[in-house]
Amino acid sequence: MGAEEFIGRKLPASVITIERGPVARFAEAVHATSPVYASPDAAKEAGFEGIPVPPTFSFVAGYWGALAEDQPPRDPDAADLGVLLTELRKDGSLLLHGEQEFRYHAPVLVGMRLHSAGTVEDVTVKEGKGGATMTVVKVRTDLTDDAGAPVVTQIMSFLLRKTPKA
Amino acid sequence: MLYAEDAAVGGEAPERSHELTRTDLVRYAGASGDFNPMHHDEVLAKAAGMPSVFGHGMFSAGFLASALTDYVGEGTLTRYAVRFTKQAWPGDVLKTKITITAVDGNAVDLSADLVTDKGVTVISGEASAQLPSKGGR
Repeated sequence: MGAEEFIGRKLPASVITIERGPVARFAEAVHATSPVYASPDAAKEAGFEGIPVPPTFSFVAGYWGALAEDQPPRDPDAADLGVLLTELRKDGSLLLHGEQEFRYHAPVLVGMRLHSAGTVEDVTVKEGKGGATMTVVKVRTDLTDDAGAPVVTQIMSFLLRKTPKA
Repeated sequence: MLYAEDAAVGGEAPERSHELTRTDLVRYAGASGDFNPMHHDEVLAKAAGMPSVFGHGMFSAGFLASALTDYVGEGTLTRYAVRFTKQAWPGDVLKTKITITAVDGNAVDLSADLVTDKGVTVISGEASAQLPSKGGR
């Protein structure tokens, strides 16, 4: 299976609830010491309508908040990212998280529900010297609110390095 | 909190520094759900040829983002993009280097890097923020 065949494939959609406890613990884990992530009063004083999340929390939000009863039926055509990455690593390629980008459109606040829609945006295979290859897989995830308005766009780039055995 | 009136090209955020510990790695694993054993299982990491466990790239990105929001204010970022260049190891002192690279009205662009006390760049990043004006958000 050629990696390029995955270009344009959708990933399974999910619905993610933003809960207060995980946000506070995540903020501690990344040493985000601002009181706005733990205190409703501090968040209000800073002008937020609820407790906001640290800039990279949306990357892990699905781990905490993809509650089973909220999930939409699985799209049979959706690609499984795990399957894609397993397929690409079969030849012994080294998988690395190369780049990560966030575009913020509106604040993520505790109590919100986010709707996650992902697409394999691009797959590029570059041939190097002596049969080495570098594959870049770009996955774009759009997080929207209940009304469908954009909240965060995430673009994740994986690198797969394959070095031919000597 | 940084106001647009106070932002100038070359302006630098206060440096934040932190010595990476194995407890940081375990806490981030639990907070993120990333249980890749290379980040918490020293036995497996060594068996895989690593000198020790090493930091999650997204831990470093999260720590650097904390320094960014401390400077520009929570909720002002419009973009944050990082490139993971090298691993961070327990014992490394991670230092944030954040500089304003462009100002256009209330919009600012910043470079945001995370480097170790050994001079290794762990993350090379950039960010944009929409700053408030004095006397009105």
